[in-house]
Amino acid sequence: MAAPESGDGNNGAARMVTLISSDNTRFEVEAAAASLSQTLQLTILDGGGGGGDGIPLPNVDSATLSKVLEYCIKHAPAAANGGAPNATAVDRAELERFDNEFVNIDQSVLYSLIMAAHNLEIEGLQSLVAKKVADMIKGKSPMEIRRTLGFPDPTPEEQAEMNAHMLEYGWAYE
Amino acid sequence: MASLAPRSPPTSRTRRGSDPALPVDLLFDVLVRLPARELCRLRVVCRWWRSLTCDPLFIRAHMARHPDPLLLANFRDDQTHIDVVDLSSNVVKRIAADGHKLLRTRFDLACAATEMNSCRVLNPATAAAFALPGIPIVHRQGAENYSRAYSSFACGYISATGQYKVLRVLSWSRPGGFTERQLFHVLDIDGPADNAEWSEVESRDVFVEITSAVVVDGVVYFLMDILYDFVITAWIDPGIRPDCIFSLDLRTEEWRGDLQGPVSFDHAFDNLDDLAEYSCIWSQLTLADLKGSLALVNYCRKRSTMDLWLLADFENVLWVKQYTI
Repeated sequence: MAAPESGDGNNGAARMVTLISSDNTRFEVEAAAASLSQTLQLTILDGGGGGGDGIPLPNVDSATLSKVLEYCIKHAPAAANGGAPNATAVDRAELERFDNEFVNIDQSVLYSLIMAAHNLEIEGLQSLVAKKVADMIKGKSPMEIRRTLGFPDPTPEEQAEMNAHMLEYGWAYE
Repeated sequence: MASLAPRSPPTSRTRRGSDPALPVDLLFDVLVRLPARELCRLRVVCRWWRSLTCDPLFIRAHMARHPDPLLLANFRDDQTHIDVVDLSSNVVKRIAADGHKLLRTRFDLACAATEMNSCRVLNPATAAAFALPGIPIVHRQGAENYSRAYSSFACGYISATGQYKVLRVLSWSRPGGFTERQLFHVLDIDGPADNAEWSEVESRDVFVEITSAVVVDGVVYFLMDILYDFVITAWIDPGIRPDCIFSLDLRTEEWRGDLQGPVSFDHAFDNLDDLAEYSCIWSQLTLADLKGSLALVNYCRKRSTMDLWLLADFENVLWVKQYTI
């Protein structure tokens, strides 16, 4: 699973790559961490991102990218072990604690995160945020869901449609 | 880009400043994580969520992720509703039964049939009901009088093709109660609902006991009709043993070879002493679906024992006695 060129290939020092956010902030990060992104992994395997070049990420702003990289750096060692089959229970518990805290953030940040995870193809991060959003929806009424996710207020037409469907699914409120 | 709220421009911002637009595959990824009992509420949220969560692709992905079954129950003290019950026996929703009774089924669809020869397929996760086409009103030339027929149904999921199919058995009885004729039809309920049609399965010269039907992995299994039990009691060899099992493959819509049950092997038909026991084998058999295999339950009242056989291999007729109680 681990990118073969990362890690030991460079005289013991971890290979570093540079990522450039949409607002032109440069982030230097270990190649192994950046490779959690399927998109970046291909570029990095091709030798990109090293030296002064940097990989531009026009869809991700610096605030989001730093958050994404925080996740990648934390999860890189486990990912290098191929999903961490030999990780100790303590390690796993620590990752879980980190994950729970990591998504305990403002909704707009969650939204930017899941979009970035999607664009960069970071499967674990996308799952983590999707699960968080699902948890936010769970147990709520349709109106509460709309409010929670910041939908605009329903138009009269939409409201009538919602009422009709609520009748149809009336048991859902028992 | 697809938006959470359709018809609203992607630029629409909320009071809290978050952008409600999520690409369809991300929304899919979020909603598919919610348990089945939440799905109906999601369908009320907006039109876009409703069409996404009603999509067969979504329903299958959801089914694969949430294997815990919801059960349909028709409680005796309330015949007017069918309740959807989870494994902790919470009633999660209640559906008007309109006189329908439940059939035994698995997975996220279940059939309900009435005395009036109509059949509906219910999806417990969504409470959506789908009425199947009834018996043709215009009789074909030389066709039987359908109004005398009694129909019964079985519903199965074919994992290889991802289809749901319903089997309908039309039975005609003599005044004495014995089966006179049976017709078998299969309907693919994933097809376009408007022109769904029953296709006839080639009839065969045996009668099946329709109440014994059980569906395992897209195959409907039947015990033989009670008629044969009477024939055996009258000491006439009907040519089949009482634990013979008929099966119809919903995928190919064809009959499979008859399956010999494990119970009657010990009995010789010409032995007079065994006859009483032999002839009552039929009445002590029940078919069931256990762990994805066909199970044959043999309850012997005389010895107060119950044997549970599992079919390990259809081709080689290999039965394994899994439990004895």
